[in-house]
Amino acid sequence: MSEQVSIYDQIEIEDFTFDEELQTFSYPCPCGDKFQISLGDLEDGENIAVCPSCSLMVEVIFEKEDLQDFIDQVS
Amino acid sequence: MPYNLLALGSNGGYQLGVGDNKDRHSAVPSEFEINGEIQRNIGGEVVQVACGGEHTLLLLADGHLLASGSNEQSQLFSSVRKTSDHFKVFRTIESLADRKFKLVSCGWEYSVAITTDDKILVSGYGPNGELGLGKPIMSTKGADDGYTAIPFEEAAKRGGIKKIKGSIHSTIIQLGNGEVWGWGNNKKGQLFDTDGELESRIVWKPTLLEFRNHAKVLDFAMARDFSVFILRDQAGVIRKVFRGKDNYDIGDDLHDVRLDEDTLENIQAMWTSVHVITKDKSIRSFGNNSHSQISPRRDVHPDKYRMGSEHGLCIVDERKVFAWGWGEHGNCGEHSDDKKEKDDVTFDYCNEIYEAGEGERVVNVFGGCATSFIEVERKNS
Repeated sequence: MSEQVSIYDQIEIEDFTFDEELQTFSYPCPCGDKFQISLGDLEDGENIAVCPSCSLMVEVIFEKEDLQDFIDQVS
Repeated sequence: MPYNLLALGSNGGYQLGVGDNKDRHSAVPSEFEINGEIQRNIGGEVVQVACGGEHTLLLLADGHLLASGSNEQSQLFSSVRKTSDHFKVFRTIESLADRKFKLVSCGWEYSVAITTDDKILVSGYGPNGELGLGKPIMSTKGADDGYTAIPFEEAAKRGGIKKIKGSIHSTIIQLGNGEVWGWGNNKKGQLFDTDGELESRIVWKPTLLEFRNHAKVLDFAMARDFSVFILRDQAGVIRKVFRGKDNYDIGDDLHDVRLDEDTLENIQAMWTSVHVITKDKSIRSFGNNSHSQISPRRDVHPDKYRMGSEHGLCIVDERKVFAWGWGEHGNCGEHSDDKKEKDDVTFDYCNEIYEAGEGERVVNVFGGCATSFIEVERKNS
């Protein structure tokens, strides 16, 4: 990463909920909203899920091959 | 004596019960709909406040439950079809009006309430066994009144249910005979070691949690992905047992802490840290300090502490309330001018968020998901 971002926590991909329709992973944020990241972003190598209601961010822990099941689900 | 509840913090789902869904950065009175009228008097003392992602339950001393916030998953023990998807102020749960409760707990989108005769009622949504109703039940939306009872005959036979603590996806209760039972998400081994068995990753029904040598559980706390149990073994030695995901070396740090049954008051958790409080009201914190969740050095001497999702609260002399930790939604109040920039989300000091006025006494504080609640008793005037 070129600039240092402040990460609140690290969360394994298995703990995220996957929404097939939106093709998005989500996980509870301590503000009551949810951290989100799209399947496409993960495929592109992004690994930071953000919360739409606050500044907190979590690092998604995953391996590239973990994504295949989800790619199969939506295709 | 009239009681008021004051609230501040995150409010996207009307969980503060103040009538709208705007965040609050200073304490404002929650409102109560009683017999069709909106008022600020609670109508009795609140003994417990339980907070989910965007919903709040109040347990009154007389055993009644009041609710506010999101009911989109029927998590307020009220059918979303028959009532509404949000309770904008606190109101009585009509479907439970004839029942009395002694304990309550909220997870992310579900709630657990224990009746005085040890029935466990659950409502809402939980895809990881959170409802404790057996595989594959994930929702109570379809139930007539939006809730169901967990069949758990063991409770009454074993001394009744004495304590409940929940995290966002799992719940643990303690019975009168000392046993602890848990259910819900166990993917991190926060209830018990899965031993690599896939089946144990979700615990669909209340299950006895066992400890080596039948040690007695003195207290326990549930964080988001881990639990900590304080045990006394048969030789009288105090042990600390950590279960679950340990991103912050909490297990090792706790292991080195000397604890004594006579001086331990309780153990509490935020989502990613634990806090051991002793009877002399000192606090030792372990875990994530990304936003100063570890209790800062204080020049105040609290009589009571409570933890929210990533912030802490304390009361001093029944008059003042202070907050520390992550306060982005106003749950830690606002920085005073000399301390930090207004938009700094971290409170690395104890910030005063309330001072009782003439004839008032701060009775209690409660923390939720970036929410803070202050209960105040007022002398009749």
